[in-house]
Amino acid sequence: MLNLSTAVFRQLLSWPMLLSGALWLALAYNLSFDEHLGAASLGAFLSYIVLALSALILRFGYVLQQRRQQGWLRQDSLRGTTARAVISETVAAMFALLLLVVCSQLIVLALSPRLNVQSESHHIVMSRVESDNSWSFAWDDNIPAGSKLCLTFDFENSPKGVFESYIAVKELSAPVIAGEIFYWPLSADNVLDRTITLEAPAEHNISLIRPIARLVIERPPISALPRLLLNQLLFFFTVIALCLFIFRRLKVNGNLASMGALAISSLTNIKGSYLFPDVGALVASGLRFERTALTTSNIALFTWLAIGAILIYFSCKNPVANKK
Amino acid sequence: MTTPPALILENVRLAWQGADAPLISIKAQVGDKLLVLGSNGCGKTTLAETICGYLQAANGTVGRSSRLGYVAQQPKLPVTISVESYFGQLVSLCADSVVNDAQQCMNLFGLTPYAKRKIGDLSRGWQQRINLAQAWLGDPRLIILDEPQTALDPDGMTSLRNVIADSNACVLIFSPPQTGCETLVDTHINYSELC
Repeated sequence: MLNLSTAVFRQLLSWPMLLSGALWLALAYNLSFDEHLGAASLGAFLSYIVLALSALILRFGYVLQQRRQQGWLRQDSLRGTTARAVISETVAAMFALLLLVVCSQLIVLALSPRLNVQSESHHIVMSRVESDNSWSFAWDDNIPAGSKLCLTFDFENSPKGVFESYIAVKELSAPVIAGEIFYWPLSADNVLDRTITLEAPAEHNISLIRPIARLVIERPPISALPRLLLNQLLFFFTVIALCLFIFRRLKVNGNLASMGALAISSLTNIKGSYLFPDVGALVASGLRFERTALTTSNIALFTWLAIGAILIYFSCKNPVANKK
Repeated sequence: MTTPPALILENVRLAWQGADAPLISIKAQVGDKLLVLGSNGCGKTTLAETICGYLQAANGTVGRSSRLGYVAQQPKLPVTISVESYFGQLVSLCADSVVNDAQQCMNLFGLTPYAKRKIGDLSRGWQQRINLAQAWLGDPRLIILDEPQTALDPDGMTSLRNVIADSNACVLIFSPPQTGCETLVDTHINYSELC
C-alpha cells in the first residue's frame, strides 16, 4: 500500500506543485509578518495556510478525476481491493497537507517573526441596559476562556463624593473607580453561556458608557502555532473524506467533488447550524482569529473526525455498478 | 470435490435491452477458452462490462470468479508514469495471496525492454500490450478480452495466442467477425447463440 500512497502523493505534489507551495509559503510569511506589509499576526499567516490547504484539496479532486480517467477506479473494483485504494488516497492527501503544515511551522520557527506587540485584542460586544443599574452583554462566538469585559463607567450623576463603586454578579464583586477602565474576567460558565449580566449598587447611580464596551481576548502566542496548524489538519481530514465519498459513492467528477466538499465543510461556520458539529474554529484565521481560535470542544472535534472516518468507511465499499 | 465454474450467467438481460430481449446464459469452467463473435452494437462490450461488475444486469444472475482479468476495448492507462511503475501499483492493488510477479506479466507480452519508458511515449500497439499484460496480473481464474486484437501487429497476435494457450484460466474473448481473433482460440460461437 506504501507503493500506492507514494504514487498518489507524487501525482498530488509534482515538482511544479512543490515549487508553487514553497513560493506561496514565502509569500505568506512576508505578507503576514513583514514590518511594512503584514499585520504581524498569526491569524493573517493562518489565513494564507488555509488557502493553500484548500488549494491542495482542489488539487486532490483533480488528481482523483485524473485517476478515474487513467482507469484506476476500474482496476480497484475489478480486483476487489477498493479499501486499499481509498486508504492510500487518504494517506497521500493527509501526508501532502501535513507536509505543508510542517513546512509552514518550520518557516516560522526558523525565522521567529515579531508579532504585534499589543498582547490583547479588543472586540465590540453587544450590550443592553437591563435597568438603571444593570447591564447585560452577549456575544456570538465560542470565545476563549480567560477573556475579559473591558468597560468604562460614568460617575457624573453619582451622589457627591462617590468616586468608587463596585460591580457584582451573584456573590462575586469587583471595585470600579471613577476615571479608570474596569475589567471583568469572564468565568468558564459565562463563556459557555455567551452572556453575562453585571449589576452596580443603585444608590451609586453610575452608568455604563456602552459605545466603548469591549470584549478583551488575549492573542495566542507564537508557541500556539503548532496546535493551530494541527487543528487545520484535523479539519481537512474530514474534508478529504467528504471529497472521496462524493467522488466514489455519488460518482461525481473529482473537481466538482472537491469543490463540493469545501463548500459543505464551510457550512460548519454557520452559527446555530445543527447540521455539523461546531468546528468552524478549527480553521479560525484572519486578523480577528483570536476570537474563536482554540475554542473547539473535544466532543465537537471527535464528532467531526468520526464523520470523516464513517465517510471513508463508506467510500471503501465496492461501488455499485452503473445502470446503462 | 467439483471446481466451481469460472463464469455462470443465468437468464441475464443487459441493462439497456427492452423487456422482450432474449436472455443470455453462459457457463464456463476454468481452462475453457471461448471466442464470442458479434457484429457492432450487438452488446458484446455491455455483456463484458456486466460480467466485470461495471454495469448492472437488468435481471438474471451473474456469477464469476473473484479473480478476474479484464482487457477493455478502449484502454485507460496512466500515460504519465512508466510501465514498471504502473505494474508496481497494480501489484499493490492485488490481494496479497495471489500476487504474481509483475515482471513475469510484462515478459508475457515483451514489455520488459520498455519498462522504464513512459506509457504515453509508447505506440498504440505497445499500449495495447500493456492493456493485455495487466489482465494476467494476480493469477486470474477468468479473463475477459474485449476486442484484444486492436492495434496489435502479427508479432503481438502471436504473443497473445501463445499466452492464451499457456493460460490455465478461463478466457472469454469478444470480437466482431474476421478480425483475426478466430486464430486465438478453437471454440467460436456467435453472440446470438448465447441467448
